[in-house]
Amino acid sequence: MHYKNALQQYFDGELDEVGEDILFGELAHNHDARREFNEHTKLRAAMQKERSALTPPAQAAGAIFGALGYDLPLPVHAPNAPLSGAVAASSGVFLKLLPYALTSLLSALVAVGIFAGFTNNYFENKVSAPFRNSVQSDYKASDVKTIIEKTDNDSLSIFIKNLSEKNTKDEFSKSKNNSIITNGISNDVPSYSLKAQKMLQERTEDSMLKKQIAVIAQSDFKNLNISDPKSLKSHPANTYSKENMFQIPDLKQTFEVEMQRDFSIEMRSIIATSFPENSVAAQTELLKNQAVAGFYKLSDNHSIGLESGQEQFAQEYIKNINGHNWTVRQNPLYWYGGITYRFSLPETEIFGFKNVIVPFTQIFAGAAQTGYLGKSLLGFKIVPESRVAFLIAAEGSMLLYNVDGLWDNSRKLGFSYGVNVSF
Amino acid sequence: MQNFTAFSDAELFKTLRQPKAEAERAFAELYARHSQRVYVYCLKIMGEEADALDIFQTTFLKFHAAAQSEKNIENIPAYLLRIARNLCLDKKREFKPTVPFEDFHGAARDNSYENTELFALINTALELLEIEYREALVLHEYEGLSYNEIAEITGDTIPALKNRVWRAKQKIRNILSPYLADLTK
Repeated sequence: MHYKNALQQYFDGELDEVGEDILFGELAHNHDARREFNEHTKLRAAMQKERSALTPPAQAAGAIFGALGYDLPLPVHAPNAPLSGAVAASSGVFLKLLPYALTSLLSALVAVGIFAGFTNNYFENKVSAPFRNSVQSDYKASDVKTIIEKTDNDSLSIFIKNLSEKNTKDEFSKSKNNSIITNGISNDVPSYSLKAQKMLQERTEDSMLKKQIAVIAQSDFKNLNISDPKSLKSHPANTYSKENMFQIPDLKQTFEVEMQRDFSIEMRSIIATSFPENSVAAQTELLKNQAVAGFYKLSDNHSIGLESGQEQFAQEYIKNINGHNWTVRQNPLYWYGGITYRFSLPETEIFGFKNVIVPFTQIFAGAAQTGYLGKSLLGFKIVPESRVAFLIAAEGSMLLYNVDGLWDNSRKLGFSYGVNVSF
Repeated sequence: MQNFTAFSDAELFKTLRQPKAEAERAFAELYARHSQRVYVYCLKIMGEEADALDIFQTTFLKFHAAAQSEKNIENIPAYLLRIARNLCLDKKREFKPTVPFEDFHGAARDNSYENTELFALINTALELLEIEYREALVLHEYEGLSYNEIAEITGDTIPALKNRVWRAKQKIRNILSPYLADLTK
C-alpha cells in the first residue's frame, strides 16, 4: 500500500494495527511521507481548534429568538456578544432622553395652557360649576337684574333677568316651582320676601342668582305701590347696582376651601432608559409604561398612596438553564405595585403664581413580578385648578431580582409625566 | 419544571409543538446543542460572515417551522445541516464568488473573523476549493461527522465522500505547503 493511501485511512480512522505499523515504519525513513503526515496533522489540529473557537454571535441568536417570539436567552459563549454592560456617559443618556423630555414637557405645557385658558374664561364669566348643585343656569355678574313689574292682571311680578340672554326673562318666570311671581296675591307683599327667603334656604350654591334672591328676600315691599310704575322702578330691589346687590365670589377663597380635598387619583407615563446603559435594545415603549396611583392627603404637604402599573426593565444577567449558561438579555414588561409617599412644598409662589407650581418629591417601595422595586421622583406639579394637577418629574427606579441565588438589579433613569385629579 | 437536558433531540423536537413556555425551553436546549455546528458549517461553506449569519438564522427559523408540522425527525443535527446546506447551495447559485489565486495573500489578510494566521490561511484555501470538496471537508473535519452521516446529508456515496475529503485535504495542504513548513518550524 502506498503511504498516501495509508495516510488517508489513518486520518479517517480506518487503518488497522498492521497498517499503522507499516505506515509508521514508512514515516521513520521517508522524509516526504513524514512531512505530509505532519502537515495533515497540523491542518486537522488547526481545524478542530478553530471549530471550538467559533460560536454563533449573540445578535444572530437574538434575531432567531426574537423572530420566534421567544424572550429567551442568548448563548453566553458568543464571542461577539458585548456581554458587559457598557457604562454610558451621562450626557449620552440625557441626549437620548431629551426628545422624550421635550415632548412630554411640551404636551404638559399645552395641556396646562388649554386648561388654564378654559378655566380663566370660565371663572371670569361664570360661577364655578361644582357649586351649581341646583342652579339651572349661569349668571354673569354684570348681567343679572331684578325686575319688579306690574302684570296685566294687577299682580306684582318679580323676576330676575339674565340680561345676557335676550328675549328670556329668567328661569323663575318660566318655572312654576321656582317662580316668585304670585299671581292673585299682589297685595300680600310679605309673601314675596318669605318666598325669596325660602328659596334662599333651599339653594346651596354660591351664585349670583342666590345673591340676587337674597336682595329680594331682604327688600321691603310693604309700601310698594304696584300701580305706580315709578315706585316699582325706584324700589331698591329693582335698582341695578352690581356693587350693592351682589358680591363676586372670592375665587381664591374657593380654592382654599377646595384644597382640602383629601383623595386623588393619578395617572403617569414613564419614559426612561437603563442607567447605566446595557446592551439590551431600546426598552421604553410609551403606552406600556404607565402607572395609576391613589393618594390620600395627610396634610397640605404630605400624601401617601398606593401605586400600580406596568413598566419595562432591561435585564442582562447570566442564568443556568438546562445545564447551559445563558446570558439573558430581555426587556420584559412587569406589573408592579406598592406604597408611595409624596412631599409637596407648602405655600409656593413661583412666577407670581401662588400654589400653582408646586415642587414635590416622592418615593415608592413595592414589588414587581420578578422582584422588588423602588422609585424616587423629583419634580413639580402645575395646579391650574385645585382639582387637577399636571405633573412632570425626573424619575429613577431600581428593580432588584434574584437569579440563581444571586441578587442583580436593573436601574432606570428618565422622566415621568401625568395628571392628578382630586375629588 | 421539566429538565430538558435529559430529553433526546427527537423529544425536544416534538416539544416544539407544545405551548409556548415549553416550546421556548425546548428550542433553547436544541439551539444550545446544535447552533455551533450549524454556524460553523454556514461560515465555512459561505466564507462571508454576513451570508453565513443570514443562512444560519434562516436555518433555525425553518427548523422551527418544520417542527410545527407533524414531522418526526430522529437525526436533528443532520436535519439542521440539510436545511443549512440547501440554503447555502441556493445562495451559491445566486452568486458564485471566485478568488483568483493571485489574490490569495491579500484575501488571507482581509479575513477578519479569525484570530490566527493559520486559521486565516486555511479559510482562504477553503474558498479556493470547489463547493462539493469544501463541503465534504467541512462536514468531516470541522463537524466531525462520519462518512455515513455525511452521506445522509449530501446523498453522496461513501467512497465518493472519502475521495473528496482526501483530495480536499491534499489541495489545501498543497496551497498552504510553504506556510505549513514555516509554521512547523
